[in-house]
Amino acid sequence: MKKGNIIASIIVIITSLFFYFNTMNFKKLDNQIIGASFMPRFYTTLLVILSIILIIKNLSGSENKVENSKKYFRYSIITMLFILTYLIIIPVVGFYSSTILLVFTLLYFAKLKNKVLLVSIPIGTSIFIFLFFQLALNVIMPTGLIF
Amino acid sequence: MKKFKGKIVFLLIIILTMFLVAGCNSEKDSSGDTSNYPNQSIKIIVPSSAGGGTDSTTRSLAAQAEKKLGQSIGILNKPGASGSVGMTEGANAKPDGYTLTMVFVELTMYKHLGLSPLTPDEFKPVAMINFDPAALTVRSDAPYNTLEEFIDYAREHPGEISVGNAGTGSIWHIAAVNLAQSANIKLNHVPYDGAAPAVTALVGGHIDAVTVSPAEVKAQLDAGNLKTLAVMAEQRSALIPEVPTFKESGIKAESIGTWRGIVVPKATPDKKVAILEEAFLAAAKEKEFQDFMKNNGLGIQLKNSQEFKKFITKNEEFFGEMIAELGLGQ
Amino acid sequence: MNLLIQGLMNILDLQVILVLLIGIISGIAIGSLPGLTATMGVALVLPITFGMNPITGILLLIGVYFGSVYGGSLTAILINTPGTPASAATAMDGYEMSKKGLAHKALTISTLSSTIGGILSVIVLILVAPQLANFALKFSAPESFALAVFGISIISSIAGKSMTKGLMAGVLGLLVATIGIDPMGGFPRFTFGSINLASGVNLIPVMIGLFAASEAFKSMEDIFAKQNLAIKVEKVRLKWSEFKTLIVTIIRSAGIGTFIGMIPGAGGDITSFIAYNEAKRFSKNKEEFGKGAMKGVAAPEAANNSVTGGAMIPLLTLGIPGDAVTAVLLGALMVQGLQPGPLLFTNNGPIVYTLFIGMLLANLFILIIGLLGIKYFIKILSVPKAILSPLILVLCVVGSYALNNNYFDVMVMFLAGVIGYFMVKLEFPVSPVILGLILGPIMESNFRRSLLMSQGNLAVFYTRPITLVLLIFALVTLLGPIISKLIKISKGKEIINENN
Repeated sequence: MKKGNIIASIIVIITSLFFYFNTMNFKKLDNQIIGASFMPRFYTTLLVILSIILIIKNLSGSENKVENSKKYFRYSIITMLFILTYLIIIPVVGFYSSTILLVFTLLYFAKLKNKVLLVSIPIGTSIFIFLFFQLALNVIMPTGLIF
Repeated sequence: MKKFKGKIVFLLIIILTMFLVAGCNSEKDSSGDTSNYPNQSIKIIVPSSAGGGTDSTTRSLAAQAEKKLGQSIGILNKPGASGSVGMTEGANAKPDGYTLTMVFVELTMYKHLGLSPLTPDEFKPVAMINFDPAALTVRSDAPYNTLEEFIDYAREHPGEISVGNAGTGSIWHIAAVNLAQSANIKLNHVPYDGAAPAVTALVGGHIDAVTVSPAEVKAQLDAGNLKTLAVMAEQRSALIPEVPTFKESGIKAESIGTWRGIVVPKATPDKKVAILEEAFLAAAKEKEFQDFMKNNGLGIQLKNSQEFKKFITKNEEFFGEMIAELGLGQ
Repeated sequence: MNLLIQGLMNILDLQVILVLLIGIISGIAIGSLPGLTATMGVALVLPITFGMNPITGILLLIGVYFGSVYGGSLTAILINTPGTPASAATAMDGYEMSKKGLAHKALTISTLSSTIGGILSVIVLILVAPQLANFALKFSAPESFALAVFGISIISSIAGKSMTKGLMAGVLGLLVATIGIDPMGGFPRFTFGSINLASGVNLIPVMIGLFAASEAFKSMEDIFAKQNLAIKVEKVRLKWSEFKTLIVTIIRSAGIGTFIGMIPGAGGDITSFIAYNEAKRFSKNKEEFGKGAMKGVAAPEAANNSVTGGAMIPLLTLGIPGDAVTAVLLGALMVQGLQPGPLLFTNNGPIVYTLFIGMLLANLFILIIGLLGIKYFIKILSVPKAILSPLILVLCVVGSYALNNNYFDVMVMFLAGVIGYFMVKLEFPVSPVILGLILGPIMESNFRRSLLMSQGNLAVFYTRPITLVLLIFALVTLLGPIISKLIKISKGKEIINENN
């Protein structure tokens, strides 16, 4: 995971620089000894230094190696994409229908074979959320444009 | 393949069921029709967290207004960015009279502070319910007992008196600045994360004064830890009637304080606004609500739609000048 | 004493006890769900209490408050999903114990530590509240700043394998915490014109994402790799001899929790981390921490429950709410016509002592419900991951939405989940991010407030005794691991030299 650490460090450095340059247009009030930009600059500088240390450690090989199976990596990424799609369709088709679809899809994706469970869990989840969150806690889930 | 087909059928059945269920529930759009308004439940957006002062005031008021309107009222808490998140949603709601927003004084300050482009013009005021003035409060062992003495002391020790407020650009900050400007004195403004921490710091002796509402210092006044020198309002506060106003103490200062009121999106039909106005003003006069406000030390000040609109406009202009002078905003 | 007995009599009413029990059970349910915090639970129940008599109403809220603090740890231990920020520290060793099959033991430790911590803090509240409250008032901006710095220094003890990575995660949390309106100057920082960012990145969705969502993403992988599929639950109970080794840790942590809980605005959420750090400092087996140490569960649990009693100290004696939950409780008391503050004890003595007894009783109920419930709680581990992971993901979405009814928080949760997943993969610890997010604003605003109050004089940070002591603590904590490493190296050299 040497490569991963280095990539992560580079991402952190770029993010820090972006934040650092953004602090340039922060306004300082007259009565303040330390302005709004002081702390963010301190943090970003620290992050850049730490990232550089991590890169050096990895290049010199003193950082512990991490064992990871890359083979199954994509299944997590696919799950993330499912969730992303879910988050995009909620405002369109409403929370409850999207949730039934998502849970069904994920269960199917996770190779759940039992047909009864495949249907009852998605519906059960939505009913639980409706009863507990919407009725008991008064959290009104988004309804969407279509429904 | 057969198995796969079965799954697809399952999926289709589920989707169809959803459409059917949702179809049955969908409510009729009644925005154009005012004859039988309100004929469905009403929602009030509260732009602050559940459990806070604005939230419980709204809930208590809504409980009375439900009886007047004959419809249930739901509360939706939507805090964030000093309330501008919830208020923006309220401004963009359907102008059918079924989505109301509880707004407070900060609404007139967002644009000036550069916080949000939202202005009070996006709303049509329904009724103002509550007003609490800024009260200049100091420690009870402080060397000054009246506003005049406080000002004399401040003149002798310029910049040495630390005044705590509820955050830079908050209404209590503006109040302290207003005091300094009106009396022509120099104060050291210390922002806190809300009024309660500022009062705590004052009780602990870390700062010299606060300019927050009487309700927020009442407990400490009763305990004898603090004393209020004057309130920044036209009339004395009902909570601490023995304390004089700024005017009575000889200082001409604009009356500054926090207020709360009900508004609707600006395109809401006037007929509906009138129905709501009547209901909420009547609700605010109910004993249960009056008791609630009294227990919480909150001041009731009712203004109808017209008066409320004028009041908001006046506030907006005044805060605009103040904030620009302070160099806040952008 | 008479008042306490009178309080006991007032409590011994079927209706009151029933309401307290309902409060605790709903509190545990609310606390265990991600996104539903103690504050939210109490706020949601508040309007219901308007119509009740003072004792019943307040005890219902106390039940919800205490129950949700306890409930937050259940899911932290079982499925690495801290229900509340105060339970984030528990997840570190609690979940490791679960993974080893020791869920039953971990939950027993959690229940015992929680209730002992809770009861001790209530006893402190009853006996010495006024004296302590006056001490709490001594905490001004420099002291709060120093306490926050001390809290941040704990990153070094929860960093895990790589100190560099731990620090990076912590500073990242601190940086993210600066997003939003600058607490001191009112200037919007890194908001890029979005009003959703103006109030900053919310802690709870980030926490849900980093812990729960990332874990759920990872377990989808496990399903296909057919590894770590089922967590076996071994029938290992907590032995009395083991419990005895934890007692000192529990008492110390309860002290820390009560103390930090009573300081207004100090951030009760971090007490569990501080207690964890101190447990590690005093432990002989420091390496065990982070790998399922029993003390690593006992310390944060005792601490976060003892915050409850601590937070009540300034509330009841001074009328000062120290955190969000007590602010809601203050409102609840006022609605009932009770004015918290020094006069509360003289004007409403019987009610106050009834509340005290109620708080003790609430902790006892938690003990009973907890111990009886463990065998049901651990059933969640027998649910196949293929079913559990999708459900956790949906709950993450609902929980982060429920917090503020804001869809933006859901997006934050998702992003945090993705980042958390990669952090776990690359062995970056996630807890320091939470620590940074909680403490960043407290540290920065108190630093700047101190300088504003002292008119720019830096002496406030070394002339005030409490501040100085806390800052020295922070330095020792931060540099401790580095120094001990250096000592080890130099000792190693000596040995080599001797051998030569």
